[in-house]
Amino acid sequence: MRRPSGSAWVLIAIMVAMLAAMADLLTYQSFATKVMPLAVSGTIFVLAAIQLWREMRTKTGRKPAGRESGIESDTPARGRRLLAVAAWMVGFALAVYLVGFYIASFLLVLSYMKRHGSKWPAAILSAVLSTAAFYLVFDVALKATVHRGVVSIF
Amino acid sequence: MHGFAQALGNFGDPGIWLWIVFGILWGIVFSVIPGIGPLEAMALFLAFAFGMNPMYALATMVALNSVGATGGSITAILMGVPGETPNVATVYDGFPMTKKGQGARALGAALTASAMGGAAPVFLALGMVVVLVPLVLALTSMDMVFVILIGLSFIVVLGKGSMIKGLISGGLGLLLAAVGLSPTSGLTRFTFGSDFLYDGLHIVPVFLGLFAVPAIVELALKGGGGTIAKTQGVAVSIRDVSKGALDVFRHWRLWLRSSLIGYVVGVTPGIGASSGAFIAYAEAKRRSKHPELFGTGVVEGVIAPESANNAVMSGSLLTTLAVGVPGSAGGALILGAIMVLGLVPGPTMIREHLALSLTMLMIVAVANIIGAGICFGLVPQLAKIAIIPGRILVPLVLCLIYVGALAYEGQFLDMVAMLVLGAVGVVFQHFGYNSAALVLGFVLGELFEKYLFIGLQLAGPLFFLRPISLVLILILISLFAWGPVERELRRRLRRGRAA
Repeated sequence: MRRPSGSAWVLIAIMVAMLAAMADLLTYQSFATKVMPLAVSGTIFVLAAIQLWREMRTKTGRKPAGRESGIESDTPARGRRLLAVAAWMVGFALAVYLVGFYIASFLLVLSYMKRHGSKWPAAILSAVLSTAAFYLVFDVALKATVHRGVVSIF
Repeated sequence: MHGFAQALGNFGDPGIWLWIVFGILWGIVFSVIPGIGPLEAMALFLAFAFGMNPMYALATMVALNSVGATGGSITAILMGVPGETPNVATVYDGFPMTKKGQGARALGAALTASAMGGAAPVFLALGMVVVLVPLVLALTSMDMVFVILIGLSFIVVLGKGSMIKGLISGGLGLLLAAVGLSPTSGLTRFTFGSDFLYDGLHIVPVFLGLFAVPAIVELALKGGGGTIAKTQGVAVSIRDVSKGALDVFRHWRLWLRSSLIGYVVGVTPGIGASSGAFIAYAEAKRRSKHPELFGTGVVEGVIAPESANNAVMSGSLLTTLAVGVPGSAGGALILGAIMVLGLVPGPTMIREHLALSLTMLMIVAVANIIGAGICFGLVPQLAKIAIIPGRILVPLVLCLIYVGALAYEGQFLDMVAMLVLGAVGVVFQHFGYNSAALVLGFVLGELFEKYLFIGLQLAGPLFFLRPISLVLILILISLFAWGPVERELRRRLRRGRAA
C-alpha cells in the first residue's frame, strides 16, 4: 500500500459524498423519489472503491491523467499560480456580491491589467471601455437582470 | 416530404439568417482564441436564449457549433497554435506550410475543405433521417432507458481516459440532475432546505462551470502576462488562398473520404471531432504516394483533418436530434438548449417538430459555407485575436462568463453554483475525469428517471423484456465487453504465434 495520491483523495471524497447521499436518500418515504438516485449513488460508490483499490496497488494510478492541452504533473509553481487564479475568481465573485457586476468588472479589468504589467492609462481606458460595453450590451440591449450588489447604488 | 418543404420554407424568414450569421461570428471569434471555443460560447449564449423564439435560438446554437473548427484552423496554420483541439492535426502540415511561405495556400485549402466537409455530409444526414424516423418512432419509454444508457456508455468507453472514471463522471451527472423536485413523485431531493435548489441546478451555470471555468483557468495559467500565440501572423494574398481552394478540388477523393470518416465518427457518440480529424489525417497519410512528406507541410495534411472535423458536426447533430443522445459535448449543449426552450429531445422532437429538426441539419450546411466565406474575408483581423495579450483577454472573458451565469435567472447563487462546479471541472480535468460524460448525465438525467419510472409502472421490474430493449441491452453489453474480449483475443493470437 502506498500513501494516497491526489487522485486517491478525490476518489475518497466521492465515496464519502455518495455515502452521505445514500444516507439522506434512505430517509425518504417515497420509493419513486429515491430509487434512481439511490441506484446511481450506490453504483458510483462501488466504482470509486474499485478505482481507489486499483490506484493504491499500482504505481501508474498515482499519476494524474490531465488533458492533452497542457496539464502537467503537480508542481509547487503551478499550484501557486492556480491558487492565484482562484483568488482572482473568488475575489471577483465577492466584488460582484458587494458592489454589483458593473463596478466589479471595472475593478477586475483595471487591477488584473495593472498587476500583469500594463501601464495605468491603458488599464484605466480598457476598464472604462469594457465596463461601458458590458453595460450597453447586457443592461441596455439585452435588458438582462444582473446583480447590482448589496452596497451599490449603481 | 412535407417536413422537408417546411424546413426549406423556414429559410424564407430573414430573422433566421440574422441569427445564423450572429452565431457564426460569435463562434468564429471564440474559436480563434486558443483555450476557449465554441463550447464556452454556446454555454454563454444559452444564458440569453431562454424565452427566445426556439428556431432562432437553435439556429444560433447550431451555427455556432458548426463553425467551431473552422475559425480554429486560422491560428493553427498561421501561428502553430490550434484554436480548438479538432485543429491540432491541422498544425502538423499547416504550420510547416506557413514556414515555407505557403500559409495563404494552406488557409485556402483549410477553409474550403471545412466548408465542403461540413456542408456535404448534411445531405447524407438528411437522407438518413428518412430511414431513422420510423426506427426512432418505434422506441417506447422502456427502450429509451437503454438508449440513454448506450449514449452515456459510448462517451465513457470511446472517450479519453479511464473507463471507470468516465462512468463515475456520467453517474455524477445523473445525480446532479436529481437535485430539486423529483419528476416522478413531486417531492424534493438534495435541496438542504434551500429555495434556490428547489427547481434543481440551472443548466447554464453547470455548463459554464464545467467547460468555461476550467478553460479560463488554463488560459490564465498559460498566458496571464504575455500573448497566447508565440508568433505573429503572415500576409495573406487572395491568389494564394484561391490556389489552396483549388487544391481541395484537385484532391476531391481525399476530401470525400475524410468527410465520410468525419461523418461516421460524428454519428457515433463519444468519439469527437479531434479523433475524427486524426483518423482522417492518418488515413490520408496511409493512402498517400508520399507518406514521408506528411508533417513537412503538404496540402493533403491540411485538407484531410479540416474536412473531417467539420463533417463530425453533421453526424453528431443527427444523433442528437433523432435519438436524443448527443454525440459530443457540443451536442449535449444543443440538447440542453432544446430542453431550456421547452422542447423534448429524441423521438418526441422528431414526431412533433420534424421541420425544426430538419432546419437545424440544413443550418449546419449553410453555416459551414457562410462561416468559411467570413473567414476568407477576415483572416488578418481574426488572426490578431490570438495575439491579444492574456492580461486583456483573461479579465474580459472572465467577466463574460460571470455575467452569463448572473443573467440566466438573475440570481447571484447561480454564480456561486458556477464557481463550485468550476472547481469540480478543474479537478476533473486534472485527474482525467470526463466532463462531457458528466454534462451528458446531467442533461439526460431527468428524462432517464422519467423513462425508468414509466417502464417500472407499466411493466414492472422486468420492463426490459421487449425485443427492442433486449437488442439495446445486447449492444450495451458488447460495448463494454468489446475492449477486454479484443485484448484477450490479441493475447491468444500473440501466444499462438510465439508457440
